[in-house]
Amino acid sequence: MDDSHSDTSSVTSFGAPVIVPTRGDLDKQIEKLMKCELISEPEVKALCSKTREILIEESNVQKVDTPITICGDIHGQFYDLMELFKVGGMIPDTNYLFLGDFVDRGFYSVETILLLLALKVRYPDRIMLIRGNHESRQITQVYGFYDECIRKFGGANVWRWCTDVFDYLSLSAVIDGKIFCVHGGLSPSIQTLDEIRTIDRKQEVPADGPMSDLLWSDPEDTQGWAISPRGAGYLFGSDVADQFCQSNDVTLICRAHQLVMEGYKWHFNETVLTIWSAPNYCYRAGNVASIMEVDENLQKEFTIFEAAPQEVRGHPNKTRPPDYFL
Amino acid sequence: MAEPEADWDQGKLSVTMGERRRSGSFTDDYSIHKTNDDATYCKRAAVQLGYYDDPFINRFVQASSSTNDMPIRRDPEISRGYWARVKAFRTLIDQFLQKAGPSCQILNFGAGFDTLYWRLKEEGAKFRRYVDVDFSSVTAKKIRMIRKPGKPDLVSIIANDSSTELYESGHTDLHGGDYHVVGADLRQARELHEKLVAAEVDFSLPTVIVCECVLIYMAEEQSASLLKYLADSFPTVCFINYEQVNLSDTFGAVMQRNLNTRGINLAGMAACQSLESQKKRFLENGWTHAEDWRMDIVYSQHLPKNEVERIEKIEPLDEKELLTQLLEHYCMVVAAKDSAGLGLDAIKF
Ligand SMILES: C[S@@+](CC[C@H](N)C(=O)[O-])C[C@H]1O[C@@H](n2cnc3c(N)ncnc32)[C@H](O)[C@@H]1O
Ligand SMILES: [Mn+2]
Repeated sequence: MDDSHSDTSSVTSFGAPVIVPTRGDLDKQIEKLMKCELISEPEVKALCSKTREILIEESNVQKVDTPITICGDIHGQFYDLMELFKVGGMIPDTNYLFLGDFVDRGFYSVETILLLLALKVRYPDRIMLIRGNHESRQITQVYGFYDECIRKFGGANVWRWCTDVFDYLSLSAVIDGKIFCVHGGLSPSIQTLDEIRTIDRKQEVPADGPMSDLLWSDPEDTQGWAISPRGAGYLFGSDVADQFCQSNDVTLICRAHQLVMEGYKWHFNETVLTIWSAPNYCYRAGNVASIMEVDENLQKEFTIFEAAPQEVRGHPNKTRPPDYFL
Repeated sequence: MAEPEADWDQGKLSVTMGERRRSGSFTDDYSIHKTNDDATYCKRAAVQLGYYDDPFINRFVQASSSTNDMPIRRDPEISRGYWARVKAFRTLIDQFLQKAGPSCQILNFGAGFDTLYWRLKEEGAKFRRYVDVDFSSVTAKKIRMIRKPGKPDLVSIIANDSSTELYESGHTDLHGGDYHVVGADLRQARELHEKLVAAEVDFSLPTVIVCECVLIYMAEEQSASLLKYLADSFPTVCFINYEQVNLSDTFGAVMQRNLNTRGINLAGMAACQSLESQKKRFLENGWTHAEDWRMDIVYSQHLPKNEVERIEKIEPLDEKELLTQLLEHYCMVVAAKDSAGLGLDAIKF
């Protein structure tokens, strides 16, 4: 992989102070973004700078309260995110935790991430965003977010600002102390939540090590640890999950990261759960998506949803068609 | 379903009655020509990233407006799939060349801008004759690009000695030495036959027909007539088909819908329902042997392990399931009729 762009320092590209968006500005931006319209480059810059200020305060293991609705990968499928809000309720009426992978592969990564950031800045207590393996400089150059920024803004500024924000995204969350939420899974170098808290997360996702593992690992029907075919992270077995839950007094590890055709999937006797929120992934896979609502008593309720109908997707010719072997 | 005993002339008659003569005048044929651009761009993307070598592919990519809506980069599962397709074809074609010997013929049906001829020549492959066939609007463009000066020089590979002359007819057909490219609608019996004759195809020579993502664009009856015509015309012949399979699930329905919005009609989906239906179309139309492989099997079991390892390092694939799902919906079929007993029915992975 070419990693000439993977600036691993946390030096950011904001430079001079930027205008802080007012609540009114934000409401207008959200209104635009909800229609899948872009906001201006200076607005993006201000938004990213403000988001960073908010995220910097969050812990690597951010505490969140019920009731909350948990969502898996979105991957730039903007109209399907609208579908998600339709079935799950709009912010601030519903509290959301998004488990990462907001960008890449879909046609509207830019609109999707900007909307989520604008909502974060406008309602910081109503929406929690944690980092996925695609929130990375290196991966976004392979899977489309970088190209999309260039295409839609004529330059790499927006990509640079957004990926700088990604460095500040939290790595995990714990709901009411009982449900551990992370994008990928566990790491052989992490036994306790405190060990996650000691990670210096404000950097590009490293190629390996605990931070990378949290974003890349998958559960697998084995015992112990195994090499991951993804080339990053590990496969972890049921004993590993049990041990982690016990040591940290949590009842469930809730994660995303893997396409599941049925929208969600239980693993290992319900100690691990995969939630997937990109219906018809890549506009090709034919899967359904789901979100999970957790109430004050930690009761869980899943809602399955499908891709937005063609009519509401805007003009098909404006987007690149999904790829097949033709 | 095609009637097994319907003869080629009957088939042709119903085709010509149902459709107008000049293929270029069909609106949805235009979208089908465009599938060639997509294949070319995807192959170019894979070549540029180092999945495989093809020094000639760049000669067939127009540096025109159409590049703007064709992003260079494709998702890794697409490049991996194209690599597997090209590699799989070469594996089988090389076996044919070995069994058939130097006085054999290669016919590439729905060839688009495929560079197979030049790749084979570059590697010193021996064959009597090579013919690219596609819609005349596609072959006309291909001829323009072959003739356009550039590196590597495509014409000099065709006319490798001073006595070889290239001659063109109607801007859609080019003949020179052992290379021919002719414009014909594969659904039009007489037109195809005349063009093969014009390309000096010798029906008695061992011949391989290469068909890479083509038959699905014509109705099942039409491809059946074509297959029957070929089996009837060539005593010693091998057909290598690559295209979709297992389309009766959600993935297939989504594919059909997606391609429809691009104006592409998968008229031949019926033959792509299963490996069985893919084989049956041959066995019912005069072919004595047919064997099939799903591409996920080809990829994981039949392509060289070290090569798979190499290409998987080029770009990380974040979701293996996406590749698996695609490969499970494509297949290769080798069919044969082997009157000369060359062992064409033993061409396999
Ligand atoms: C997806 S492209 C594949 C091109 C090439 N075989 C490759 O794999 O790179 C399909 C090709 O088949 C050609 N084709 C489809 N139907 C055809 C027909 N009835 N007659 C001639 N060519 C046809 C199209 O014009 C197009 O070039
Ligand atoms: Mn992921």
